[in-house]
Amino acid sequence: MPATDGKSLIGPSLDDIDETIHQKVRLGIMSALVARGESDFRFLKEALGLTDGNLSIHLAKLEEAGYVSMKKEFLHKKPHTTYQETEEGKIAFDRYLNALERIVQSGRRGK
Amino acid sequence: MLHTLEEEEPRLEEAYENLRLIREVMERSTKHSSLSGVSGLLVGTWAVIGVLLTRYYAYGSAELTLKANHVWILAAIWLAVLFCSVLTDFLMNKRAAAEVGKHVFSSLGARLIQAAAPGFTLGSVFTIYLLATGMISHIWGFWMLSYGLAICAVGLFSVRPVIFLGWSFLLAGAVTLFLPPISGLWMMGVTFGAFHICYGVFTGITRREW
Repeated sequence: MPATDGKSLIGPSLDDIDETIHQKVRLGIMSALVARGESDFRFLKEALGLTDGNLSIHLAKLEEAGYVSMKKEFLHKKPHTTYQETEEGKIAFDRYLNALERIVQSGRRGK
Repeated sequence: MLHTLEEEEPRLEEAYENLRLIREVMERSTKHSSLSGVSGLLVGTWAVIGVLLTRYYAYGSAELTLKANHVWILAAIWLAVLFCSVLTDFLMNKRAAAEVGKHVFSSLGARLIQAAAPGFTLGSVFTIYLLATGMISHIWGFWMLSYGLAICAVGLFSVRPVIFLGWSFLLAGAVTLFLPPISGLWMMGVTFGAFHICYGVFTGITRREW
């Protein structure tokens, strides 16, 4: 039987954590940017196996949250867009990882 | 926030799944071949030229042993090979970085240099030691071992064929230590020459990274 009238004392949950990063595609984008630093649209698309539209939508959400910054420039006379995680994005990603770690630790203690 | 035990399992599974996703994406994002197809072909070619020059200029024609007064010729040849190889790989990486608008001196590049540094330091120490003790003709196996070590370390940030290349050098180096010096020189042609050329062709064809 569960302890404490049907509730356990397992603290953190996935509900507590940042929904902006928690979404799988956005989590993938943030992981790629944190690992590699500044990356262009084509790289992210290939690394994550996404369509242009899908990637654009999620990059826009991350930009809106202030986690990613975009830079547009011309490279060999062609437009070239790169993305980079912001300081705020790095902090949010670290916080998300800590939350996952706490959930895993709680799960191990519970077994 | 409190949760029922029934809710815990799916949450835990999702946490594991997300950690797996993060790890996979991070690995995929940081790995690149470090040595492109053309780099491999050119570095291998410089090594073959180095072997031929060493054979004809640093070894006595009859006895096939390294002549003491030819040590500086040997040093000059292989420093030139090293310089050409590093320059080739640098220019090729610069070209690849420019294609995607990135600078050649990226944080990944810095990590690759850090990873390779102990192997190259070891190779330099072996060279100085063997020069000082008059055993420089046995250098070949030590160079292969040191280079193999450096490549294996770089392979941790790179694609699988790089690790395979590193281990090939380590095994070849171990065998070469027990061979006579002139056979060791031919092994230089096999390893630094043929291994790099095969790697270059393989990378170019399979990964389309020319």
